[in-house]
Amino acid sequence: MEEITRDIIERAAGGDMEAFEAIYKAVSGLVFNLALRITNSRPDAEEATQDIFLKIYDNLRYFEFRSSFKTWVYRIAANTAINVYNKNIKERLRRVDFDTVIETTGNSSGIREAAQSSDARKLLSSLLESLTPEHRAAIVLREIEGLSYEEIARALGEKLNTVRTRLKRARQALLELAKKAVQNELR
Amino acid sequence: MNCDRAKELLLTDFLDREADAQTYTEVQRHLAACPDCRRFEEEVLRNAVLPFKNQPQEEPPRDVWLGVRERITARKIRKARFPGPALTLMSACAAVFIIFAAVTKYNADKAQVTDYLSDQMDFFTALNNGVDAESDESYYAF
Repeated sequence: MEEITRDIIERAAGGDMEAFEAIYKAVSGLVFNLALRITNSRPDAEEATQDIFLKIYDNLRYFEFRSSFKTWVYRIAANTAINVYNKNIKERLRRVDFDTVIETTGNSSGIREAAQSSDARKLLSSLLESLTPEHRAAIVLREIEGLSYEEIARALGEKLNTVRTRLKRARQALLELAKKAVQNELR
Repeated sequence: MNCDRAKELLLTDFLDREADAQTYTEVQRHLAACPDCRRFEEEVLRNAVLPFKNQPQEEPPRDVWLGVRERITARKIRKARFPGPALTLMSACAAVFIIFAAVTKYNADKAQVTDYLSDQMDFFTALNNGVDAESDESYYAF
């Protein structure tokens, strides 16, 4: 992420669109990828990313520089993406998404196909489908964004132990899915 | 350290390098002596860590920024036409005026009714007492 200076944040908070665009260019990749992993749907991720930046724009004047700007952005991004996922879930389960191998949650044969096709993106999408959005947020912030437990806790507004539990549950779910995939292959 | 505790840490603090030095050493010592936990560690790395590595980072489509900018601009235009705080103040003043007028009218009507009833009470009292109400000067005092 390019450095966002205090001056840019203050100017954007005052309505300076050029400054706000600089913020967008600096963090849009981070925001979009987090939204993509949490919603596990490209259209939902695009919708969430727009909502996230509107919230950033509306709330910049309340950012007090007590935490890092990146942590503040992560918090807005994770919560908004989870809300978009929950809002669209009914439609999402009905919709067949041709960008992913799996149509429904926990389809271990789809994981087998994705693994065999060596498509890392599809495999990850299949794995994320088996997790709740809260578990996705924790594991993506840890494994892809490389945040520490403390940073994840601040980003999600959760206690440290909650973060630890979410990571444990997410990994247990992934192990269980892998076990089912192997069992199906042996049949 | 028993296997349950070791597996717990293999799913969390040990895996994520959040464990303190002593705990880290204890887990390593346990792994050296326990093939089952070593297999478990490999499964965790293969199924819960490796799939996340080297994932391509994507940029959002250009349309996303255009949509954000459009929505902010549209909101600014709406605010310019209908300034929120001024409209709220005008509405509040109008509401206060209407309530005041209604209360004033109610009190005025109530006073008239009370006076009328009071006069009637005096009249009937006078009748009852055999007094000619019209001879009472206060009858005309209004």
